[in-house]
Amino acid sequence: MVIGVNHSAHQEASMAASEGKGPKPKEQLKVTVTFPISPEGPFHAEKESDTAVGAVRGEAMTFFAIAGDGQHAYYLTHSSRRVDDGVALESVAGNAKAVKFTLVKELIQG
Amino acid sequence: MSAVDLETELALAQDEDAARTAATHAGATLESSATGIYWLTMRAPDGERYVARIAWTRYPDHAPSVKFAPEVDGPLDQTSAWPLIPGYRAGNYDICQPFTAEGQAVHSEWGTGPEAWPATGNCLLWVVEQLLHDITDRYQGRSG
Repeated sequence: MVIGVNHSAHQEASMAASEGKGPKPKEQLKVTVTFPISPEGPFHAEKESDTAVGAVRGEAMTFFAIAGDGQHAYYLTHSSRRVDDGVALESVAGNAKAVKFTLVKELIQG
Repeated sequence: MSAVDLETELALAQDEDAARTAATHAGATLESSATGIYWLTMRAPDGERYVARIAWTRYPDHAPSVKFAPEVDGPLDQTSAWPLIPGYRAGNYDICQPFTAEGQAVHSEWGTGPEAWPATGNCLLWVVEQLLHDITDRYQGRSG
């Protein structure tokens, strides 16, 4: 006779997390994006820590009513440094629970 | 007597705290030597120090003149005070970009359309953040 313990997947994940095993639980990060020359803003959102910066940039551009075009590059900076769209928020935030970006519009000069 | 009008003085007073905070956060300093005249002292990634003078004639309606000097209140005609950054023309003592009066003067076509001076939001903060970003991410060394 086999006496089993019927844990649900959720319970197992919780146990693994509590024992320091398994994937790190996703955290919510407060995100702020400023675009200084806009009369609107800043843009605020709460995002899961593994959200790509590009997703935040896209939502911020919508908030600031900016449409992309071929003449300009739009990207986010953090501490004056450009952050690529593919980077996860948690990589920028480190241990912080909030992260602030600036939206930059750069003229592509030929 | 101030060289700028009262509207400019009041609008700058409203916006300069945010610009000063942004500069401090980036390890730079923003100080004013006269109404409408700001000096942004920044460190490039190689440790070199640069001082940009941001001079407003009418805020926020017109783009500011942006030039570099060896120190605060220093002369504006020394190419060695300039960083090498795309669009920054040390030989002409100007920055050929839409956020400066010099760039807007060279490119009259920028007067309308997407490159037009915005005159909205916190323009002082915008210019300070543009300069901080350029010195951090687009810097290529010191001009000769």
